[in-house]
Formats: sequence, structure tokens, C-alpha cells
Amino acid sequence: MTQGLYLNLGCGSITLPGEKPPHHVVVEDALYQYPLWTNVDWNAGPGVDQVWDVFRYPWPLPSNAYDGAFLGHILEHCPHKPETNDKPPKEFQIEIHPEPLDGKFVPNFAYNTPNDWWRQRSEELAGLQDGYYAFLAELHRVLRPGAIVHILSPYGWSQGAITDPTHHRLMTEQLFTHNSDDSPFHYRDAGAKFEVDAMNFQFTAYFAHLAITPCDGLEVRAYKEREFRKAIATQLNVADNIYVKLRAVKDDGENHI
Amino acid sequence: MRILVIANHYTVCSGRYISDAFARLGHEVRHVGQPMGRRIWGLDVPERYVWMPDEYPGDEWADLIVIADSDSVILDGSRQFAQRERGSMVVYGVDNHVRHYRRPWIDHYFLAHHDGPVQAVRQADETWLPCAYDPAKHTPSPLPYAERVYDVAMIGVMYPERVKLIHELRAAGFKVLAGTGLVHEDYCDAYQNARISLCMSIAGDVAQRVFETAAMGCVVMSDLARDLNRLKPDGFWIYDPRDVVAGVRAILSDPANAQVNIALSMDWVRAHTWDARCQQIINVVTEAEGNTVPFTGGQVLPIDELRLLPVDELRHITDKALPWAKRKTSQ
Repeated sequence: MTQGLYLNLGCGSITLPGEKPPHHVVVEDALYQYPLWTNVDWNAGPGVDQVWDVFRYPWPLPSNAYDGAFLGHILEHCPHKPETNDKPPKEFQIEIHPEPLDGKFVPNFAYNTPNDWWRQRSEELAGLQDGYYAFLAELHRVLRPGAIVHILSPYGWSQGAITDPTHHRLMTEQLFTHNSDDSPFHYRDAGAKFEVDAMNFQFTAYFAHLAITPCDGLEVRAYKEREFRKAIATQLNVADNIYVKLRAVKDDGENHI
Repeated sequence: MRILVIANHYTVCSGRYISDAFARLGHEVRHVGQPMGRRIWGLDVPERYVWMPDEYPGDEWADLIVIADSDSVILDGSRQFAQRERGSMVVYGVDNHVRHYRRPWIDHYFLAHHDGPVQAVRQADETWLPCAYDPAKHTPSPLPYAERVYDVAMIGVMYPERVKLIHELRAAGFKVLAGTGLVHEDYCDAYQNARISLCMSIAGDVAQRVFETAAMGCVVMSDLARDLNRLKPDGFWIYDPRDVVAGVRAILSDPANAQVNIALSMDWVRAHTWDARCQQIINVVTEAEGNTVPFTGGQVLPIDELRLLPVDELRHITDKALPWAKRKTSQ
């Protein structure tokens, strides 16, 4: 069975598949109708499949197992210091028969991996430059090659991003290429490679006039694009949210087990 | 025979299925057209399922050209082949209920829906050729009926009518797998782990899904789509649209009867492979003897691998089925 599962990390009350929330307007509609999800949150709730802390590494998830992921308003909460476990979370340290968990074919990876893998992996991730890179390294590990990650977060230069005291980082369009090969920054990131497939912004009411519509001709589109670039580089509250699609760049054989 | 299939190369499309089927029948096949990548139905499906076109072999390579797409750009562009000295050019159209394929230079039309309504099968150069299943992909479920996880599966575009139906079924306590974006092996895995394949047509057309899921060993529960009267499927459950929940409950409450229906529908669907469809195309194009007999040939399903009771022994049970829940579409 191949079972193309998607991961919904830090899902909160928005478990999938489900209704698309109104404030997710900029995210692709079809994502909410994809039928096979593993919803993860540190709070148990309706629709939550697994309960553990996504900001403690490594994750109790198998490598190369997921065809997609959704990070809905979670990445900005990622702490800077990577917190690690040198053994699986307690609730996974029990034997579970290798059968579907409520219809989802996620094997009990945590139980079946040797403890020395956990130690090595946690040491590797603890040594990374920032918790953000530990998060991305684990995401890269569990995704299959070419899997798409859908990220929705408050745009860095907005009221919503700056005001929330639980936000650890400001998300802008340059975040995802900050540590690329041609960047002058060479942070310790475990080599997890993603490429930006698409990016979109949810404008605030003050700048809604810059949203490109199907009726716009080439000249209007060019004008709006120019004005948008100028505004986003110089003003606050141009966009409420940023939506990014990242593609996991990895070989088929990449596996940390 | 050298066959050139022209289609937009979506990851899931009739062009892909018939290319594979022609190859299984022993023909030399090239498929060309615009690569459409991994994007379909608003989602990015896994890269491993992307279908890439072959290199174009030249205008005079093919003995037969099959246009397997509804794109008017492709249909209009096929005019370039009109001056060929040999071979036929035909269209296989799955969307003749909403599209018209007729062009002056096309030799024959194979249309999936008999009564259209946009292009119905009426002219001498039109042949009814419904969709089918792929015997290499849509294999019988290895999971015994009782051990499958899902009560109902509906994988497809989630129109509002379908979403409403899914909510009703879930509210009634059934385990439902529904949504968009599972393709190829993932699609097969989903249906092989479900007891009922729920099919709801939006435009009155018979979905390809009815053939595929019958072949995979689901109870096919369908609304009364137009061509079902001609296809005469055996073992299908035609549901009462006023109360689908009651229909599902009736099926699940009688597993023995459900398995009879599975056996009957698997027996019926054997002939409805893409291989058989492609052979029909060859028969018509080459004017082979007996080409008026549809739906013959193709691979035979190994249904004896399933843990079902013998079909002959259980046929009498179908007479006792709930009359409203299982309306036969013929006889």
C-alpha cells in the first residue's frame, strides 16, 4: 500500500480534510479536500491523530513517508533553540501492532527504530544553527522527494506578525532562500533543501487594489507588480499573510535510517 | 501497428490509459502533446506520477493517430495531419456530454457517452466507446471485505452536492474516505480498502470510476446515469437519491449480499478494459471482421483469488435484495 499521506503539523482546531477557514483565503482550495491526512498537535482534540510537540526533535515519524504537508500558522512559533529528545516520546514507547492506525497506514516508527538512531539524530539537530533549521531538517526527512509543503503564516511586516508575543520569527519572502547555496550566509542547516514553487500574499484592505485580477491586461499587471514590490519593501501592513509552496529536493535514496 | 496518441499529458487522462493499453496489445506506441506536470484538479500530485511525452516521431510515422483530448487547440491543430497519405486519424472523446469534437478532417469518433448530449452517437462515423478500467492497475483488492477500513469511498472532485452527501454519511456514523488528489497507486489503495464505491455523477454521465472500482472489488453504488441502461451492469446498487444513508446502511447490514454484488459486478466488468476499448478502435479502423461486436477481448480478472462465495451458489440471494435499494437497470 502506498498511501499518499499529507502532514498537518500544529493543526490546532483546523484538522484536515475539512472546511477551508475564511482566513485561509490565499491557500489553494483543493488542499482542504485531499482525503488522507495525519493531523498533529500538542493538544488532543477532535480530529487530531497524533499528540506530540512539533518543536521537539526528532519527530516520531518515518522517513520518506509523506507526499505533502501543511503548516498553517505554525512556523512563526518555532523557537530558536532546538529542543531534542534522545529517545522517542513516552507515548510512543509501547509496542503497537503493525496495522493501520484508525485507517491511516502510519507504522509505529518510533517503537521500531533503534535508540542509537534517536541519540544520533537528536545530537545532529541540537547542533544546528537555529530551531528553524531543525524543523526544516525533520520536515525534509519525513517527506518524499518532490513533496510540496504549503506554508501559511502572518507576513513579517504586519500587525499580526509583530504583535503576537508567541511569535519567534518574522516570515518574509526572503526567509526561504536565506541560506541557499548562493547566499552569503552559511548556517548549519543539515543540508535540507527546499525550492520555492510558488508564493502569494493576502493583501490588507489598504492595498487590496494591488491584487491582480483575471481582467487585468499586461500593462495593468506590470503596474500592480511594480507598485506591490515598492510597497512591500517600504511599508508596513501591505499583506496580512504569506502563502508559500516549497518543494522538497532530495534523492530517492535519502533516508536517515 | 504504429499508433500515435496525441493528448495533453496530465498525470491522469484517457490518453495515458489508452497508450498503455495499445502497448499491451502489442502495438508500437508514441504519445505526444503538452507536458502538464504534476498539477491536476487544483493539487500537485506526487512527482512519480507525472506523465512525460515521447519525442515526436514525425508526420508520416504513424499508421493510426488517436487524439485523446477535448482541448480545441489539439483538435484544431490536428489539421496538420489532414494531408497524410496513409492511415486514419480518429478521436477518442470522454467529454462528448459537454464538448463537440467534430472536425472535417477526422475519420472517426469514438465517444464515451452514447447520448451526448452535446455530441451524441448518431452518425456512421461515430462509435460508442465508454470508459474502462486498466487491468494492470485496477486489480482486485487483496483485503477481505470484512477487514477493509472504510465503509464508503468517494475519490474525485468534491462538488458541493458530493460534499453534502459525505457530511450526511459521516454524521450517520459511517467511516468515509472522500476527497480529491489521490491518483494511480494511491487511488487504488484507497478503494481497495473500502467496501462501497459511491458514485455520484454531476452531469448525468457514467464515470470511469464505476468500471475501476468494480474491478477492484467494491460494491458500486451509483445514481442512475444515462448510459447505465445500455451498459446493463450487474451487481450495481442504484441508490435512491432521497436517502443515500439508508442505502449504505442496507448494503453494510448484509455482507453476504454485498459480496454477491461484488462478484456479479466483477464478472460483468471483466470485458470493460482499456485493452478491449483499444481493440475496438483497431477493429473499426481496420474494418476487421466482427468489428461490430463491442467490449470483447482484454485481460481476464483473477476473481478466484478473492475470498468470495461461489457466484452460482449465491445468485438466488439477489432476488431477496431490498427492492428500492437495488433497482436493476435492465430487464
